[in-house]
Amino acid sequence: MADTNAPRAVKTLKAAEESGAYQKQWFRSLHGRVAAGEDFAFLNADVPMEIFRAMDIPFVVNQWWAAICSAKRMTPRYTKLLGEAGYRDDLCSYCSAVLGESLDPEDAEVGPWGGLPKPTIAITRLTCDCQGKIFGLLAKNYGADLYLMENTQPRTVPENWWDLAADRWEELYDSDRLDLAVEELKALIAFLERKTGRMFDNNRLVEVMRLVNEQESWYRRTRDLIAEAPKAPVTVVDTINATMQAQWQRGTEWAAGHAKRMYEEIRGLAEAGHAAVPNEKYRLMWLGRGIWHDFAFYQNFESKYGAAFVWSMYLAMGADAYIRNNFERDPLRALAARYIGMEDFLHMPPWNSGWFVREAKRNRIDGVVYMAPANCMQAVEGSAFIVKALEKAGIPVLLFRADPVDDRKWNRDNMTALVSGFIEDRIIGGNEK
Amino acid sequence: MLRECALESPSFSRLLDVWRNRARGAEEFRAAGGRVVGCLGEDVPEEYIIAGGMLPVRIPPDPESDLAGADRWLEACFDPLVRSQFDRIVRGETARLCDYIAVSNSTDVLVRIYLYLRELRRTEPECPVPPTAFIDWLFTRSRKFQLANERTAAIFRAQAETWAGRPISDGDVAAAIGILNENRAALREISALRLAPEPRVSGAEALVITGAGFYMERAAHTALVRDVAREAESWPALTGPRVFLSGTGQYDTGIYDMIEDGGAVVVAEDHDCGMRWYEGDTDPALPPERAVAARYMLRSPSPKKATVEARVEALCRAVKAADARGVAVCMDRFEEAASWDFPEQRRALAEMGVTAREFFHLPYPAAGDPGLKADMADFVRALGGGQNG
Repeated sequence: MADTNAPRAVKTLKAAEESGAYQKQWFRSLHGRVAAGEDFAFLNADVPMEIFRAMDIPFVVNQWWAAICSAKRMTPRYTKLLGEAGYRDDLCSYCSAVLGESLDPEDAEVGPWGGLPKPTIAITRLTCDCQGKIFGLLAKNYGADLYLMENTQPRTVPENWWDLAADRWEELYDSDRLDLAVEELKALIAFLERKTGRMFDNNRLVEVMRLVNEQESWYRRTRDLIAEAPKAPVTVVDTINATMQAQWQRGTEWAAGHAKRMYEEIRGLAEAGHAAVPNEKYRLMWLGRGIWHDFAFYQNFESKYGAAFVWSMYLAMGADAYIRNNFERDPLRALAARYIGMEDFLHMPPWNSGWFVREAKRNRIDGVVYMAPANCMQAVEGSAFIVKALEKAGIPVLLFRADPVDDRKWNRDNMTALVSGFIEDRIIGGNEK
Repeated sequence: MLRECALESPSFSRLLDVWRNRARGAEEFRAAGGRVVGCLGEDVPEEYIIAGGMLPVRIPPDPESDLAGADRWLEACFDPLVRSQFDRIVRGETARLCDYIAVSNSTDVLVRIYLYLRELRRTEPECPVPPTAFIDWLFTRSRKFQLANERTAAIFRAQAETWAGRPISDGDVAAAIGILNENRAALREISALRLAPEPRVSGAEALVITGAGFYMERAAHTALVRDVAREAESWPALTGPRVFLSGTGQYDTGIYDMIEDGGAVVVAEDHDCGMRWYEGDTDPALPPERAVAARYMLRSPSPKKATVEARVEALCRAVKAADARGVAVCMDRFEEAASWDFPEQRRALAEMGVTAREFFHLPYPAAGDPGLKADMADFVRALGGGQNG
């Protein structure tokens, strides 16, 4: 059941505080730009937002906003609105929150931070069957133009994609797949130029790509620093939000600067011998989306067990999946090589399973807590293959199903008992054997 | 509802036998030295499989399975029908009948199934998964995707050549196109008998007639279908409210029987085993890859892949053509996508004076739902139907 009195996570990183404050201020300015008549795009997370950044078209990312709505405990209201409109309220909770919000006549009064401004453009990639349908519905409700981008599958699977992604990205993909993605980007640009009256400047995209590389390079340093520190100077409670919030601002001076400041702050903590969990004994990896409605959950196991959640995909994806060097000659192709790979890296074995094992080893992970999706086909990612690969590498895994944004079925006590049992039986017990 | 007039027909009885004994066609084809390709998804371009002298068969679900094989590898949110098909593969039953598997990008669920099969072949050598190919169609209608689909068709043609162990000539493809177009035309004759003001073929009978084609050589199927079409012209006309069935593909007549035993007639359907299967020909006048890509890309919008707007328009058009009074949308548990269409479809159909009702969260087979029969009877009564059976 939803618990509006659930404890709040204790964050210590200034960078997390800064990103939280920045996103509120940025969202206020977004309201102002939309009120002044600018076009405003609502994008799914896998849409190449660098194009919008280069064209200075304001946008909000679906998953970021769903996380905000969940953290503000608005999801039950939106699922109720969906049900009242005849839609099922048990599906696609991550992606349909905004559809529910689009039905809310009081959104400006009760929605997070004044609610979502009405988008004039809605864009998603067809990475699952529901995406086009949900975005089509919310576009209609908001009176926005709908634009859909295709999704292709790899025929070849390179080993160790993380070694190729930054510098040898051309080798990651079938050439015709990359060619098609570039054609899609050109079509998207043509659509946006027509819709907004703004010109796409290739030189501006070069600058955006440079800033993204700079930002993600700081994430790489941060990821490596946490992996190598004797005790983790921060946990996912700080890094998930600080990274995710800035990731959706990527391509800006602020985001690149924030990533640097976050690294320097964490390096300072590490150099001072600070441990986020002073009695750290066990290092845990969190697989899956963040539990946006109960972030304090991650800290439940620190004092009793000395168990610290030190790894999540949010920072590590920034470190390994986003950097594309050698982009100057053909920035569109480099961008294509970034965005089409996200589904591969995250949701396809062996791309994801191999990467998780590698990350678990280098982060000295003692156990993996893996939240698999309850009702989301897009996030289906071969969990059995992932579990098998990790266990084969000697890393115990707790797999459970839950919803990252819908807290109606979340029982904090039961989930705490589940993870506690895993720590006691598989990690502590396993170490004693 | 399978009537006596149908059961007395030797051709229909032969189709019913194939429908009920789905392995036999593949077994016999393999015993005679042929190669069999198991298909997942309704967009596998059979033209190339047949052109290579191979037999395409749809991998059927297994209502008897405990799904233990699938449960080991699939997350909970795979729908039960696909789950059952996957289970059949990992249990080794498909390898017993099929030399290869072809999976089309007909739904995101099948993309995942393909990736899992590929990974099983890579990491679980003891798991008997035949070599598997993926046909990565893109259904967004634009020139660049049409050209991409032509490349996809060429890639699958090359794959089929490898499987067949010989080149596939344009003449081979043209001959296969001819076989499939004939088959589609024959099935459209059956459809015409259902869409007529006085339907002569029930929905259950049509499902058997169409579905038998998934499991036998297509030219032989065409001959039987044409025989039945001729005979059915004199079968008694069916009465009762006309119903259009949408949603999950149906591999048994359970839902049809519930509707038709209640006194209605299923006159058309747009699920995976329905009208989209035989809608539209492959144009023999076009270069092969262009023709094949166009046929699979440009059919009426798929319930799984198309936008709500496109699906509302497509369903309303099909329902109007069928002169249906009611629409039953039957969706298996976890089969999510098309359920987003339903509220808009219901509103649009209501404006046409058509009653639509949803039957969601169904198990496979649907007869396992304890309340479905009563709910369906209630739906048929609401349409003005009476009990037939």
